[in-house]
Amino acid sequence: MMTRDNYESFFLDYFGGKLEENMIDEFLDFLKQNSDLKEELRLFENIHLPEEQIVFSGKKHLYKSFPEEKSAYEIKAIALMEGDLKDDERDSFEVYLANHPEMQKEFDLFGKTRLVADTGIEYPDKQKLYRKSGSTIFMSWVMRAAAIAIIIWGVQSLFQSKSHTNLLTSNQKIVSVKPPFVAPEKEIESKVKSPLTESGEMLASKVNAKPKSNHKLTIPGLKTKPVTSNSVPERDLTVHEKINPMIASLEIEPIENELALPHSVNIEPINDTRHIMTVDEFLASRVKKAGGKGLLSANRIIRIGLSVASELSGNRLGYKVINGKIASLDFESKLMAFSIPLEKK
Amino acid sequence: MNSKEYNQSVDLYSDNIYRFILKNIRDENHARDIVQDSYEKLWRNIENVNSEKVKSYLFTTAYHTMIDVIRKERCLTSIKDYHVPEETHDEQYSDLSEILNEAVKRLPEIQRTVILLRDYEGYSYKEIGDCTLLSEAQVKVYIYRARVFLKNYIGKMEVVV
Repeated sequence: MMTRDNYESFFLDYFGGKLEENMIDEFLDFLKQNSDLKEELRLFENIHLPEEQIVFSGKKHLYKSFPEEKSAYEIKAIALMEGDLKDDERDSFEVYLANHPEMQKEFDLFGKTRLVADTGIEYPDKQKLYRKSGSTIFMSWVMRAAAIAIIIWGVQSLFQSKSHTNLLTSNQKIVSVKPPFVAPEKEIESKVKSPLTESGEMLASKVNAKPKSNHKLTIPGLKTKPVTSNSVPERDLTVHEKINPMIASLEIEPIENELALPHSVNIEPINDTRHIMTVDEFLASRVKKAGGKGLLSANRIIRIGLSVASELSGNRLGYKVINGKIASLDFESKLMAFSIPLEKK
Repeated sequence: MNSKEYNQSVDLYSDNIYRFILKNIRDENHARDIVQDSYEKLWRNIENVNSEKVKSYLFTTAYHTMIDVIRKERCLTSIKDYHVPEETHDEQYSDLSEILNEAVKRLPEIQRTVILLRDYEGYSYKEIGDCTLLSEAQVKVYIYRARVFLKNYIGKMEVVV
């Protein structure tokens, strides 16, 4: 029911077009009965607020980009930089960049983070780092085999030469201990004057030589006593004659046959100074023996080396040549024998 | 590898390793010592190192030697003397490379290492991981963080300039 107490809300509904149809007759009757309010309704009709176009300028500052989105963008941007994106991913990201120019600037900044090495910086002590090879020696397997053979021969010849030296020394001792005929001093003097046998000459020379070596030594400040004949008991030299038979038995044995010398080594030329060559002469003779073809070829040098080793080892070390090339290395001794083929099959 | 290949590795990589170490620790004497030490170790293990892997061997050795040096230095440096990197930027920068160098100095140690190996030497994630004993995923994360840090630093400095 429309009264003077609630007419304002009906007036607003009327202007707003929201007044119900069944109320319109009642509304018009109310205006007829209250003419003063009809004038007030006319004043309401003129009040109208114009629409203003006001835009908030700080709107972009209010935008928030979600961290996940930014993070995803940065991951994509860095992945593109690092070349980790597949073709389709790269294409879609480039499309995204094209649609978001504000992100392009960020992407350009990422591009600037790539570091470039300063080639002006150089390590100053490089010379100290260089090394010279010396510890490692590279040898072909042929040279290794030759080296092994030479070492084996060297070790063996070392033992041999020791035993050889021992035998020679004992031989010399035996010769020097050749039993002389020992006689009393009085007899010696008489024997010097009389014609002597071969053994007698040796003995005389030894006996005569004895006083020569018996020099008088005078040391200043040292008192010496003359040696009287009483202080030294006379030696009974006749006793030596009794042991002569034992020494004589050593003389009988032929010494050269006992020496275990290599069959190819001839003792006589070695002991004879006329046959001794210097190392240079020896090597020169072996080079001459190897021939002049291919003067400094590796094959020739190896052959010369092997022939020298062969000769020095008493032909224990040998080699076979087929078609001008060394086909195999051979080694033969009392302990072992082997052959190393050098030709590749 | 043989001595010839060893000497070639001196020609090829000593400068790179020196730069890498120098950028990381910014101490010429230490950088020299580390390079020399790395090559000394290589020479001792020359029989066991493949010539194709020598670069990786040298960088790995240099990196670990550098870590040892840094740890020793930290032990020797007292808290009072320890220099905390400043966040303010008073320096005058003339170009991008200077700004970038300054930014690299401020990177955390491991991030600096991985990004230097990546950009200076062009190493893959796996190679960096082998060198620094990190997984590929960790390497990626460190590179990502380093790039973001450098980007933000450059961005700020450009605004200031």
